[in-house]
Amino acid sequence: MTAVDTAPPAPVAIRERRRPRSATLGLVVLVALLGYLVLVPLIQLLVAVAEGGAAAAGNAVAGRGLGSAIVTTVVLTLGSLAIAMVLGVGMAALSVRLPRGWRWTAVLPILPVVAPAVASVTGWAFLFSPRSGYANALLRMVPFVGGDSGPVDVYTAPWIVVITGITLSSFVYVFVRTGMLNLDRGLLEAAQVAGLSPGRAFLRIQLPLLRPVLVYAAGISLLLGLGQFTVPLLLGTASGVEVLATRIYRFTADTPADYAAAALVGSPLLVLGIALVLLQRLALGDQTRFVAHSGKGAWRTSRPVRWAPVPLLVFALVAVVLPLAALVVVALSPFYSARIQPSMFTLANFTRLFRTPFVLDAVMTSLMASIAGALLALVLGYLAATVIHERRWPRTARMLDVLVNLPLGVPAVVYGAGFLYAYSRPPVVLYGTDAVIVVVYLTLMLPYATRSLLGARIALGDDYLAASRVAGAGPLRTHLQIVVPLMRAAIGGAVALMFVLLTHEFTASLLVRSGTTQVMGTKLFDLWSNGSYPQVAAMALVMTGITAAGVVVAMAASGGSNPLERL
Amino acid sequence: MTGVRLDAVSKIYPGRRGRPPVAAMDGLDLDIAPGELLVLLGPSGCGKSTTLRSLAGLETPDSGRIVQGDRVVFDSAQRLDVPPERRNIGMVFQSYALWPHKTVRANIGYPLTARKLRKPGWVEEAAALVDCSELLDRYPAQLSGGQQQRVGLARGIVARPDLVLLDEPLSNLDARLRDQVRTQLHELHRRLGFTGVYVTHDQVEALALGDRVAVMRAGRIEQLGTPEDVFSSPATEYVADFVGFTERLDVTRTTGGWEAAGRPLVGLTTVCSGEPDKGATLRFRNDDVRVLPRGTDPDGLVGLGYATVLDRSFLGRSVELTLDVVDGGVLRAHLAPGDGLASAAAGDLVTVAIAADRVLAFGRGRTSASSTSRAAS
Repeated sequence: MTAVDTAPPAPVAIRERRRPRSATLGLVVLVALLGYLVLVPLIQLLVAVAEGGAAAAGNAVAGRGLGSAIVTTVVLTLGSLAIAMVLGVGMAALSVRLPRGWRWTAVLPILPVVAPAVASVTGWAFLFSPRSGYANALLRMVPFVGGDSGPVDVYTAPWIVVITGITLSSFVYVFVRTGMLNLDRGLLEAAQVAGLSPGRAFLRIQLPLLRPVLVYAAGISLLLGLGQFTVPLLLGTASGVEVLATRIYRFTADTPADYAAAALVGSPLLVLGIALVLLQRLALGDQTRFVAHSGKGAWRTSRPVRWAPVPLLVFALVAVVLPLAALVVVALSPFYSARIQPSMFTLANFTRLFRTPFVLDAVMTSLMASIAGALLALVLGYLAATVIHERRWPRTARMLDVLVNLPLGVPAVVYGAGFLYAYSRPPVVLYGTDAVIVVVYLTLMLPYATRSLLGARIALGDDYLAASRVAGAGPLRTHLQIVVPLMRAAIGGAVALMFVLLTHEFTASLLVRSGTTQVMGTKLFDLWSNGSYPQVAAMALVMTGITAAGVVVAMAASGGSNPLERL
Repeated sequence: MTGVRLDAVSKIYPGRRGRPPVAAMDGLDLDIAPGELLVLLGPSGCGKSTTLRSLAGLETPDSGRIVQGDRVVFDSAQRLDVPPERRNIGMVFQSYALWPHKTVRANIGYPLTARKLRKPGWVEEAAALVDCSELLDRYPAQLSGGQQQRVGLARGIVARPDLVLLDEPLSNLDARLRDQVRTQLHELHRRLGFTGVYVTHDQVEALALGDRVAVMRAGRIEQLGTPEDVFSSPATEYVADFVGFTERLDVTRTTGGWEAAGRPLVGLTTVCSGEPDKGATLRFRNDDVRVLPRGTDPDGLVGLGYATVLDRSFLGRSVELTLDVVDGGVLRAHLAPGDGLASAAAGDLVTVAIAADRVLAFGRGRTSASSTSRAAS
């Protein structure tokens, strides 16, 4: 019926090929760039090991304490995992049973993630250092405790485990709570109608249904515990408590730095990290990808528990309010001692802080590198999420998915050592410049950017894009006029989240910093090492303030919902 | 206005985790005349949506050729696949797919701006055609489902494309709105005469809207014809089931005629040819089943035997009896509420019959069109 039956195709059509070369070229550039950022630091570490050879192995094992570092790492990981799971799951279960008017308390368990780790850890130290800790001083007033030091010594392994566990419980809480909210409430109602008490319904129905979420949360906690650096470094160094992560740092901080030994010590962490990323992909695979989060939740699965807000409030008090209060007191005091003297409170520590050389520079570097790192990660993450979602190149998509998630699995301290080694030698020498901080931040944020944008893109569906394409718009116009505007909430939320995480960033920053390039966290560490406690407190408060501003922006950008819950 | 032709277009999705591969299009040939509205009808998974998306350029077939007017838009032999934005088409989606951040005016006008067409008045004209003139400055979220889909229609036709593709456009609307928008769509096609392909799983929509209806199954066209043809003379048992011949009875051929479960079927002689011992399946509509008092001689009808009433439910316009035909399976009969036996109760024994010209016979186990024939008395 058409004019053409056997006629050859119109010559004009021959030029119209799909997959134009420019798209393939762009993909190659993207994969090469991401591959360089993510893999080169790790590969360079392997090269260092190969070059170092047997000598490096000797150094790694030599010196005292490798065995005890391994034991401490295992104890710290498992102990903090146990604490985090119990606290996190318990709080999550309570958070979906909050009485009306108290539901805002559900946000409290997330606060420890939002407060900079270095700030809260120093806050804890000010509370529980054996002699001058405010909380210890208070506890000594309890009958039969007494003494002139203790009862808590925050610088010992058990308390390092406890503090790490509290920090990790926030992550467990976020995942488990989201999982509980997404549970089909009908399943729980059915259990209760069938005669199970709320407690038994929780144990027999809800927990088994949540098994994938629990496994995932435990996996993340395990990774974070294995790579835990900040707490043992700040609290354990003076008392000789060492884990693998801090040992890696020592090898790179010594002169001359021994990268091969650092890499060897870090290799179990590296292998475990990669294995967990791959395992998670295998276990969750495409399932999570296509689960629609209805947003309608199990708010009314069972009757509200009247006392549910109490543990959440206590947690927030212990984990956030008290450390922050300790920081405020120390920052306002002329010197740090167990006696609080409000009459002597002064702002002099802040003025002195900003007169200290490079402090202001460090704040500016932090802000600049965080913004630049977040924006660059956003661009690369958007492109990666697009390739992963569209599956036009399925194999490349799967590869990219693993690639961008590696920085989440490999501990920051291992990555930090890799960055330091890779960027202080040709072909790309960035060490000593602000650029190295930006590149490191960009790499570390790739998983967060890609995951949140991928989630938003999946939620967007394909019809909006298809409608634009059939309306005559090419891919570029479709992305600029349709996809980006529709994802602007997710984009804003992702940028703000990354900004918050980056202004906190301590571990990788500490490894790649140099005398001329410092960020807030590393400057705080220097002040801490020098024993300038009131200035440490002032610095911690400055960091917390900047973070808080970022969180406010994040919540505004993502329409009030917590951006952390979006991950 | 142009026509569209598909030549041996195939798309096979590889089987995952041990499942066999699925053919969404299996050597599909189709010729759509200029100005024709062709309906692709079939259940989910039959390949109708893949066919539509291949016409749009949103999906790439494995092989074959698609010619739109005098322009080849897909040809696997030449590795040619024109992207959707260069095919001059319009499309209407089941989900409406109106961009929530753009006003109705910007939504309808997008195909014009994207193609850099300066056509003053076209947006207003398209909006007027679907009764959306007052909605131009609102956002999609402020519209009802019916209004959204009318805007979707306006966006699909505003640039006067060569081909309009409609992907289950009425499926998200509730029943009353669906009828309304369907009527409007029919009227719109009558006035504009665009070439269109309409995908649906709803036989009522297909019959009401199509100039021709193509019933699809497993990537192939099972029957292609006018709505009247498909409705009254389904070519295969599959099509029959799909257009309302929902009741079935297996019969075998004997020397004297036909029997069901060893019981001769009085009054049924058919022209169903070949393989007499293989048997056949009778297909008929549930409102053609006649229910008679027990023992009545089904004079002039094909007697299907005795049946026990299992259940009775009131459907408004009719009464549905679920009948257990002795040794013949379960049938449903729709009776007028005034019918004498419409008040039958569960447990009653009745006689079931059907007019011979209301029965289709299909050779057992075969699906090709040649095995079918209308039963005749």
